Amino acid sequence: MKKSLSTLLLGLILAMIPGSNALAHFGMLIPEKNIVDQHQRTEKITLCFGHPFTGIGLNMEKPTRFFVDLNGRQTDLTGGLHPVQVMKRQGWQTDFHFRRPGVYIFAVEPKPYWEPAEDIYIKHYTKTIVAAFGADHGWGRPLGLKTEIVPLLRPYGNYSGMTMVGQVLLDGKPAANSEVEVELYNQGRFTAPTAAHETQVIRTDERGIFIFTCPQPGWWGFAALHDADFTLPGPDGADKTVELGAVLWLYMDPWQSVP
Amino acid sequence: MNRCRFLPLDKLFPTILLLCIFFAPAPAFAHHLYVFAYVSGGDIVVQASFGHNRPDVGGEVSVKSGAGKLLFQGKTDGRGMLRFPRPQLPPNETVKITVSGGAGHQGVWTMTPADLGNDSAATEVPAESKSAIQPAHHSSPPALSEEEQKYLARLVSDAVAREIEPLKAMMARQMDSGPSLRNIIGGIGWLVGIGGLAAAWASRKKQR
Repeated sequence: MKKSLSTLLLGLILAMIPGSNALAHFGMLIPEKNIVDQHQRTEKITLCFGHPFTGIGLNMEKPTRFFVDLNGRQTDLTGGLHPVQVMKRQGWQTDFHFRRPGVYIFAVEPKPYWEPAEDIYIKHYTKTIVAAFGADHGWGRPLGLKTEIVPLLRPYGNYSGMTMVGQVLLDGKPAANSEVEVELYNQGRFTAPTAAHETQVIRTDERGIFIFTCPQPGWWGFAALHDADFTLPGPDGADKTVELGAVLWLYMDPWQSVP
Repeated sequence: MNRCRFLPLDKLFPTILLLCIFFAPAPAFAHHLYVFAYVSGGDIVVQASFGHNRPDVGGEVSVKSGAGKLLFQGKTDGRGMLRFPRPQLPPNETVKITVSGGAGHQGVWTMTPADLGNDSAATEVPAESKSAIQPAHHSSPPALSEEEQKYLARLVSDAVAREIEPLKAMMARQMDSGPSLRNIIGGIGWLVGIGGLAAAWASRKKQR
């Protein structure tokens, strides 16, 4: 009797482990829209961390740096962040006022997130791009982050069914043969037949370029993952691997019928 | 275009212009004309471009008040820009700037009172934060519905969370940086204890 109880307990514990491992982590940086016009010049921009498809949030500490790049000039926005609840966990938000035309690249460098289930730290450099007042220049410029995805498809004004093309940079150089995870910010719209369907995975070619066709409207996140060339001391004092992510979020609009 | 030759173009022109104005807000043309304007010192500066860094050179600019009064007319320069003195307007007045680039290209930019520096409208302050800042002047609490109470509670908790955030960060920093007071006191306790044990050991040796 005792033995069967302990077996059951062990079974339960084992059953819980793969469940937590199947989910992909994503740094998230989501504006209200990725094109602003003069009728809506202020946008809420939300920063959070979690599993976008399943909608499971994770607490995000106040990031190390959150900034916007306009024509190569960077403005720090970290001070304007206030905590909000996103996917039932702590995220951050700010109201950003667009003052002039331009392609605004928002980027966040988070604090490393300790993931006990994987025994690693996760640090996702996350970007999103907003075009204001008809500007169409400069969306493909890299920001010089430790790692980042540079879009080769214009990252706004796209429809669902279009193919995202991007280049992964690590230390400014193309990251060949590396894995890119893709998830839809599902917000409860779809259910996945298996855990594998929650995250799509592609690899970059020798130039660090990947392609992925987004079959549904919504916010799509692309996360290129690499282990850092450094470690950080974990809660137990031992050196832990740091997973660096280059994440880019873009919106695919639905096709609209003529009214 | 050939068909147009057989039509009375001069008579149709107002209709075409009207259609252009109607469809201008919808950015449906690949060759759209984008207009932007801002205040620079005592002037208003207008920029007009077709995108791809191509300026609208010699574009006809017409500036009207929100009430429809014509305030200024001019043409953009070689960089697609035009500068003119900021008109004197009542505080809540808007300014509508229309630029036409020929062949049916037209763009509009409306400057709000905030854009014009007439901040009495205070459009820059989001409604949410305004309601959070405004102190309650009621001496007795007004009767609130359950929903309003919940809303108020959320506003207050949001505001408190925002205010204590720097404190939380400071506490987190203090926890991270070196030994805390408790660690130090604990350490002293250990030292005293070990010292006491050593003294007891020594005195026992002496007694023997």
